[in-house]
Amino acid sequence: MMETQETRREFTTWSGIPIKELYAPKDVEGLDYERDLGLPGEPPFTRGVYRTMYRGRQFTIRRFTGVESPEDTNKLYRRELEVGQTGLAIAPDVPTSTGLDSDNPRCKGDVGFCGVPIDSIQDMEVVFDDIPLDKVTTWTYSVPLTAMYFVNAENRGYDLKVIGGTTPTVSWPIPSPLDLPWEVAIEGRKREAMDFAEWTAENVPKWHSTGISVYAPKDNGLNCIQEMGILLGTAITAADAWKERGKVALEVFFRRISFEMATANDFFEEICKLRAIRRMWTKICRERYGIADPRLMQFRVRCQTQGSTNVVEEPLNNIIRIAFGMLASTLGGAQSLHANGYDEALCIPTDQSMLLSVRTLQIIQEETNVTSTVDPLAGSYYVEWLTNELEKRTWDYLKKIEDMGGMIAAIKSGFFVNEYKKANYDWVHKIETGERVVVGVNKYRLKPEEVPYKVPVYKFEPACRDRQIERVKKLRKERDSARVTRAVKELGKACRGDENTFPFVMEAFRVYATLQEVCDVWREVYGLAPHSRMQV
Amino acid sequence: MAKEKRVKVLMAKPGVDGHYRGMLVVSMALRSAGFEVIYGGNMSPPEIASTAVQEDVDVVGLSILTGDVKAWVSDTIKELKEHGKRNILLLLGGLIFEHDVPELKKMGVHGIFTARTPLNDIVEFVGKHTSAENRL
Repeated sequence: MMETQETRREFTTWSGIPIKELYAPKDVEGLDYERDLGLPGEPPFTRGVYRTMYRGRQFTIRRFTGVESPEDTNKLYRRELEVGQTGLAIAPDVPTSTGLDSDNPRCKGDVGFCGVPIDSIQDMEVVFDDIPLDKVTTWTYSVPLTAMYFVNAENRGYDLKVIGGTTPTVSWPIPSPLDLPWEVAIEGRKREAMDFAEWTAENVPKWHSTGISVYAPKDNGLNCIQEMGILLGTAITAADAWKERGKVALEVFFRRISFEMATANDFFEEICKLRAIRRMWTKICRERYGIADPRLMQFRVRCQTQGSTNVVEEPLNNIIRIAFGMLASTLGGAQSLHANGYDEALCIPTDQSMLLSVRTLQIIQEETNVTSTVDPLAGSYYVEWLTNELEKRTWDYLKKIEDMGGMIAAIKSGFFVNEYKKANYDWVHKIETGERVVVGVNKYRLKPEEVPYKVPVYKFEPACRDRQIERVKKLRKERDSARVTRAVKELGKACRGDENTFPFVMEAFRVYATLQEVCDVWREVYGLAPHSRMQV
Repeated sequence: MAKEKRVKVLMAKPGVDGHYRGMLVVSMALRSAGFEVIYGGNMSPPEIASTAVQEDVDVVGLSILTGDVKAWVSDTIKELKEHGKRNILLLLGGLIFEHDVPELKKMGVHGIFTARTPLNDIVEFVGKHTSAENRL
């Protein structure tokens, strides 16, 4: 017998919330418009953080990119801006994201892969050559890379007060899903993040200094409830730490915080999670921290399609998945979007896929007409019910974290490692058993020779790596090494003392210290994160 | 007859890349199939070889999602040889281009498993190639 909708065993969202056949007024009986929805731009911000939303300002198109070498990445960024991208985001290669230099023998086969190698401000200068830093905003991946970005801006004569962008606090206090090697112990990461946020509050006032990203954990296969819970739990930990430190008013923290989430395929759940989390953040700001100014309760979020939802089989199908995901994030009211390349399960994005992902977002903005009115799905029985349901279940998840003693205690207990392990395994299991349908993979599957097309694949040029290794070696010979040694020593002293460390990081880069030389100071002073290697 | 030694597998990721999903899931599948799995995480080729010797493993599984696959594989094979570890089953998983497969096999990789290989296929491959009659 053909499977029909009715014979399917159960209907649930990807988070496992049972879905009814039909929703009616009784499903949203207690909903109070003023209290639960309100106007966009006003608490509780369920309908959006700004009054006019996309009418006043379209979402930013900001792709997270970097290729092979600083030169090629500069070309890519210029091209992205030419085709209408409105923000930049640095994707460093694997060694740079780990805080190791390109000539480190451990990184031999990793240089230039998955992003751009940036060893010193020399490379940062090349990456942003001829790009107006006062016109574009940039997402700069980590605190050290942000320091290089600031030094480069200063060297080019910009006042840091006009520079805008975001630094994601990739590793504090979010539980790292990657079990990263050579990661500084959590206390060191906390110090680095907080010194940075305090320094920028005064010196780079337009910078979003605490960008909390739950992208990587979610991409491990977590569901929306876990995603929201971890994100809010992390934000609470950061706010508590800020409050406890007491150096700068708590309001400064709330003004500069921003968020990042990952968009999977459950269309309505992805919409409703954004509506729910805005309302939850408002409650946290008001009730937990006594924030009164509504502007400080705005949950500004960047959404990127989740890499794990894209597959190698019939890769053009990913274009459709990505477009639906980005439409959901638009209907949910995100501030900045990244549509993945359809080929990212195969290789790093080709020029063709880069253009397509910018165009996907432009078509949503310019052709679909969905951005002409604010929060168009409000009032739908299903949407409001699901928004409520996600909120309720996320409070429960947060409570579970609090009962474990908060995020840090939960991280140390291994709770999240287990969550990731389970989610990873479940994801594969659901696809292998067909419980989660992936078209062309476990349903309607073609033999490889039956797929009537092939897509171009990005080819890595190994010469780039050799050039990069030579470049950093040459830098070590040519720079004033006495100044570097002195600056690195001063940074060590600051790390051991109470001073704000960030200006010392900037100074070290100014005199051409390398990324690893700076990161090694942190490793030395704070030690490495205890080996939390996942046990299987 | 002495009880047969359990087959021991070292799973490792050469270099510093952090894409762990594949290695993690495959490790869990091998573990639940009864193999003894050492989850090595990120390791350099010399570390892989010395661990393989110390732990007397039968299988080394490399997971590479990004990075110069050929360079990592050839360095790992060279180190294994230098450490005197010859009869070992070498597996490779991750994002491997089709056009690199013949060369990788020639280098000495016994099994290559890219995305969506059913976990059971990997388990069966390891079982078959480490059984008493097929042992390398």
